[in-house]
Amino acid sequence: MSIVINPSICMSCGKCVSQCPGNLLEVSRNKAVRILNPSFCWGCAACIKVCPQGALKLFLPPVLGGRGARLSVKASKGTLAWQVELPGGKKINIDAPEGEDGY
Amino acid sequence: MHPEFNIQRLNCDVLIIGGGAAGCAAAHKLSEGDYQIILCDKAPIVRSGCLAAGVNAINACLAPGYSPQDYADYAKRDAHGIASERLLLSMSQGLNEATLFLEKLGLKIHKGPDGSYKYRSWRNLIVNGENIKPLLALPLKDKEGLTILERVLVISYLVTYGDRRVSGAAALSIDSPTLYFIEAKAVICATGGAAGIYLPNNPGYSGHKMWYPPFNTGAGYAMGILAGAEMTTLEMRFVALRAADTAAPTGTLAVGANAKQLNILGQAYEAKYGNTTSQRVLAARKEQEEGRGPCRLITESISLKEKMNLVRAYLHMAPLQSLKFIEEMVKDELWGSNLSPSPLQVTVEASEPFVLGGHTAGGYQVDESRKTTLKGLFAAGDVAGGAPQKYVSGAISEGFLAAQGVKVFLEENLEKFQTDASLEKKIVKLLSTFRANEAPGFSTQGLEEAMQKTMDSLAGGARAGYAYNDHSLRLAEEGILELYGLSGKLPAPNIRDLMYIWELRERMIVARSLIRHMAARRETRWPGFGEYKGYPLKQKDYELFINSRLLLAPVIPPLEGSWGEIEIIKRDLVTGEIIEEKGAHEHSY
Ligand SMILES: Cc1cc2nc3c(=O)[nH]c(=O)nc-3n(C[C@H](O)[C@H](O)[C@H](O)COP(=O)(O)OP(=O)(O)OC[C@H]3O[C@@H](n4cnc5c(N)ncnc54)[C@H](O)[C@@H]3O)c2cc1C
Ligand code: SF4
Ligand code: SF4
Repeated sequence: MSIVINPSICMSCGKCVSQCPGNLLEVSRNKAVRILNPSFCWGCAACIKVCPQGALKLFLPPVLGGRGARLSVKASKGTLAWQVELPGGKKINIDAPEGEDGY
Repeated sequence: MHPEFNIQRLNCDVLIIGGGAAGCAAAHKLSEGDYQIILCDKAPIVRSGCLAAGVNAINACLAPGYSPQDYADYAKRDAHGIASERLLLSMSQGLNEATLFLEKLGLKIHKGPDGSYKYRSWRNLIVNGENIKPLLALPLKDKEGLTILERVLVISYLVTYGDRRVSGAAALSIDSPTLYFIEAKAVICATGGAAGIYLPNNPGYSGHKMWYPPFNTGAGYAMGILAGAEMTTLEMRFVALRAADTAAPTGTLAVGANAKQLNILGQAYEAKYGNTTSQRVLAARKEQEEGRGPCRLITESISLKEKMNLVRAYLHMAPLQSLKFIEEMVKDELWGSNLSPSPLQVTVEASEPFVLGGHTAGGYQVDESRKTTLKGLFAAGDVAGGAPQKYVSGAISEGFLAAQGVKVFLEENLEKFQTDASLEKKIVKLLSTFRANEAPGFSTQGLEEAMQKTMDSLAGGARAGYAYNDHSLRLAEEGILELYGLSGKLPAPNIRDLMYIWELRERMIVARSLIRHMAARRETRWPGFGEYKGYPLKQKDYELFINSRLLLAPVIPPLEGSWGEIEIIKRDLVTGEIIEEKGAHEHSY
């Protein structure tokens, strides 16, 4: 299980490093963040929620039923704006608003 | 000092080990008083532990008209009788306080138009809880008197000469070769339960996509066992019935969206097995075994809008399940077109077994104030035994109880104490040995897999159909002891390697006690969680607690060889009094 890192937009700010419950992320001077052991990732999404650049995404490996889509999220005005990007490039936005979501 | 480690000595009134639900709650409560507190967590507390991804319900609370006794009765029934009513009652008395506490911190609880809580059932509240952990943890950063050490792994208790009062702990920083020796007048252990003892359901690369956090490796149990603390009910392992692949909870679909649990013939099968947690796990497993699986949880035909509401609800606790729903909707070409309503479904699957005192009841033997059997040591949350069905609110309630227990303890125990100085030397020596070891021809990961496979095949893992017998348990213990011996040869070129070795060995220590507990309960009480072949039924004689304690407990684990003999103690379910103590040598499988 792991996250996808886009090294070209990572600013090495280290925000994600200080969220991971498994201490799996590491930044060293001006280098993009890396995941120390991809198979150790729990898939909790804590890291992707804080990345100001959207450089981190979650995916499901094929063995868990994944077929190439990616999940990303941006924090804005106290809420999280989630997005699924499908393999063809189509994007689906899912706002998880502060209010009631029915369930 | 030792060239390989920069040694730091710290002193405090209260050391809290683990800043999850229970540890954070204890820290909030104690920081209202005038104490010097250290909270030490192996990870950043903003997202550490079970709550990392969030929650979408408070699973333990009391709707108006329900009493703590109702909750205790329910939890005891669900555990098929093996739970402490006194512990359940004391926990339940704090459930609504824990809920209010969370709401005050900013947790968004769903409410009706008149401002009253919207209950999903009499003991379940729906919340938008993606941020529950930051809400709980971040305010602690500003508390006076509270020092927070993060990315610092606690590796052992420190105890005093003679009476074995727990007087602190040793801990290792991940970021620098710093070894902390923290002395404390009282210690609260809140390290959660143990994952990774059995072979994970998902293979290799996805092995950590499991229900329980893979980073909770049972450290608190191992440290307690080694220091001679009494453990209870470890044999009541927890097998979670969750969404296949993602291990996401299914309550939102079942209770929230009225989904039906159906076998492949479209039959609702659950009722014929009963409705306790272990019976529901058994139901899904049996249907599968008998050729009527896989079982699914399936909603009525619902609109795209309703589906997206469910997708949203899952973002609060299991975002990968949301992604999976969307991938499946795309596959079914539901997306984008205005197709007529159709159902949403997940396949349900029984997980690998876990050890925890939060859903089941395995952990430290404690009293109502969450005091363990070791002087100076308290335990709360998933690491504490005897009171199942805690969930987040019960863990918080226990954190509050432990904090109160510590306050009283500190008032009553003013005498000076002296930590056994030989422990420090032993720890440094042991750590240095791993640092100096040469590559032995096997790796930490290799031994981890061997341990997990041993437990899986011989001590009732998923691939053994959760079944075991006298013989297989004996072989499992032999296997674990052999692997432990090998683990003494593992090399740790850097601190992280050292951490992983330490955590692997701790899981072996927990595994051995677990095996002994399983062997001591000669019956099958929770067939969904495990089946003792040769003893297929519930037995009246086993309406008691199986507890254990290490004789001549070494505190610091030996490099190789056994860490001591395990004594089994049987205690009365109601009074907690000892019924029978069986010396290690009398024990047979
Ligand atoms: C996936 C999942 C979903 C859940 N969803 C819900 C829900 O929706 N509603 C609900 O009511 N309950 C839910 N629960 C249950 C609830 O989260 C737990 O009962 C509760 O968090 C347990 O609290 P705890 O403090 O015992 O453990 P945790 O919260 O897990 O905290 C343990 C802490 O100890 C630290 N630690 C471990 N070992 C060491 C060490 N050696 N040194 C230092 N620190 C250490 C860990 O990093 C962690 O911070 C869920 C549990 C899981 C696993
Ligand atoms: S998803 Fe969670 S476990 Fe995985 S790297 Fe990110 S924060 Fe760590
Ligand atoms: S938070 Fe984003 S930008 Fe910052 S280090 Fe992590 S990946 Fe890079």
